[in-house]
Amino acid sequence: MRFKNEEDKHNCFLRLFTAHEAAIHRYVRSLVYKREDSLDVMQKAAIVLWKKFDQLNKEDEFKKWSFAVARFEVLAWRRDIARSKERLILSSETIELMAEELDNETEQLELEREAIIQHCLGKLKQDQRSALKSLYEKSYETSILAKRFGKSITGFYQWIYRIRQKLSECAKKMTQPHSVN
Amino acid sequence: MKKEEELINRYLNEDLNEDELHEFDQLLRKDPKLRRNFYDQTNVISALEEEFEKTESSGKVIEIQPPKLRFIPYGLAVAASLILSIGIFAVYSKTKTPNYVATLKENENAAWESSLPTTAGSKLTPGTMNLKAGVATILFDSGAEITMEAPCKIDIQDPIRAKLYQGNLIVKAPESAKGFILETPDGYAVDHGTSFGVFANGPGKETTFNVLEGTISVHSEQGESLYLNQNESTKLTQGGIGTKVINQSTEIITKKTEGKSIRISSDGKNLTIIRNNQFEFLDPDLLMVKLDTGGKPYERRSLINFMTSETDWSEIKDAGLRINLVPSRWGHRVYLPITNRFKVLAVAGFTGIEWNQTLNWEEAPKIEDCTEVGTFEIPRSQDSGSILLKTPELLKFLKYNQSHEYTFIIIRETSETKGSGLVHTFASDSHPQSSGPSLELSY
Repeated sequence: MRFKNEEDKHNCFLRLFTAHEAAIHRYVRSLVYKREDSLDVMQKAAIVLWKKFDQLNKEDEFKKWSFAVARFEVLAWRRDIARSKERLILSSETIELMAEELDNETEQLELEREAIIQHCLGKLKQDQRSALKSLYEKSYETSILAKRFGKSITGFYQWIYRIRQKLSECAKKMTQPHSVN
Repeated sequence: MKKEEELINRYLNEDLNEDELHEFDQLLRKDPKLRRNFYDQTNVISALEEEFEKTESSGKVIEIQPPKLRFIPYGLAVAASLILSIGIFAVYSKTKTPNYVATLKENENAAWESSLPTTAGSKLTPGTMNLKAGVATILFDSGAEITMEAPCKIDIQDPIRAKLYQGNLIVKAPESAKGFILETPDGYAVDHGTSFGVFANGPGKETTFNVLEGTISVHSEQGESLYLNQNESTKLTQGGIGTKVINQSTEIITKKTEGKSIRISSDGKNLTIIRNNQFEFLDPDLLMVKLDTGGKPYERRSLINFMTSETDWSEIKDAGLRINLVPSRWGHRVYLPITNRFKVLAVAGFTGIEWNQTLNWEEAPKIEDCTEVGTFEIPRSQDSGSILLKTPELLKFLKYNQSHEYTFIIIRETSETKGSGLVHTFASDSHPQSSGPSLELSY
């Protein structure tokens, strides 16, 4: 792409990046899962995107291009972690396979996420909603929460898994293109 | 739970060992259904984080620093602009999770007024904690431990620093917390690996330091300092540090209340009922009370239960019901009368209420069957604070019935002046910041 001057380039980048940042981050997050790791990858990806911004042909291609850059950065990050043997990690084959699939799924996942926040959370029972809220606000130790809801830690996590599953099913039903009347 | 699901769940909780991770990896690659399931779970997690996570400061913004224009000689300016034009900083701050510095280790019959969480085990960020009743222990991330006795107000600042405004506490600093600083009115004390007691009478009044073990140094605002060893004590005032006193015993000077007092918590057995039984207008963290106009469809009452088999009611000298008012986001304050009057009713014995579920209006004890034990008032302008209902009627009711179980109903007697007036909200046992209801008894 061509820009009038440096400032024009800055502004254009900032606009495109801001518009897609959340989506890129979620994509990265599905591949590396840990929040701290995903932030590391995002930081590197943002710098690469800026440095190579001149290579982008059309604005419309920004999302696709940024996902490709992010995927590359995820694999580079995986390589570094694997090399340092710092911790356990999924194989690059699995990550690549998932990256490929998630590339084609983003729109649908986006719709489902919207449905969860707008609609499905409201359909949960009070204690289910309250457990999710306390867990994701991260203001309590899980052991305390488990006790408060009368469960063992394992039992608590399994319960949370089921609630998430329920939310996902609800979201899928909501976003089906031809939902049954 | 199926094995595959178990693996996903434990992966998400970062709880897989090497073999299990390997197995999970293989299964993911082979099984498209499992991958689908995995994407769904991570997608729901992003939605939940988006909805619930407290974002302290949004660290996800990217900043671009445009080249600064300065007067620079021409040749240099060209070179400089080349460097400056790559002025982009991706600032993905990792401190999005709150900055915890301590943990509330233990509550012994404690009642709090604090913007920080007050359940035992809660992690604490810097902030002020005001202990209104009981004893509590805070463990700082440095290893230092503060045990405080009510009434006591402290400011948690960082893992090695706290400020005591008023009250009585003991600091224990192990090796890892050497150098722990306790600020007090008119000065501060540095802990050199020891334990010491402090009794601060409040701003403008004297503070007593008393070393139980090891060494501390006391510093005044005027810049003086004094080292104290075991069994030595001193006083700090606006005028500076007093003389060193050798104690005969290690007992700390405190104001002890006579007799014994206990606090019974409602232990999750509290809930709100609403006349139209539309439970989406309730919040499990809040005990809501409201009287509305017209057919009163949104009238709400709070029910609180205390169960105890160990209390000898005939022996009690004094009794109080404590509830904590918390800011309400429900309705408008201006549509309330200037003073709002509440009535507290009581029932002794078993009610058959399932406290962990919602309760239909019709199934709650009828007001006619209850005994009035007191009233209290809250001005329209007040949005938080601790309320202690201490009446002769309450004491009489408890002593007379000698029951293992008491249920209280709180109703608002004054209505709103106009529709959508404020709902008064008190902390339930699950409230993240404030303590739930309690019954305070003294013998």
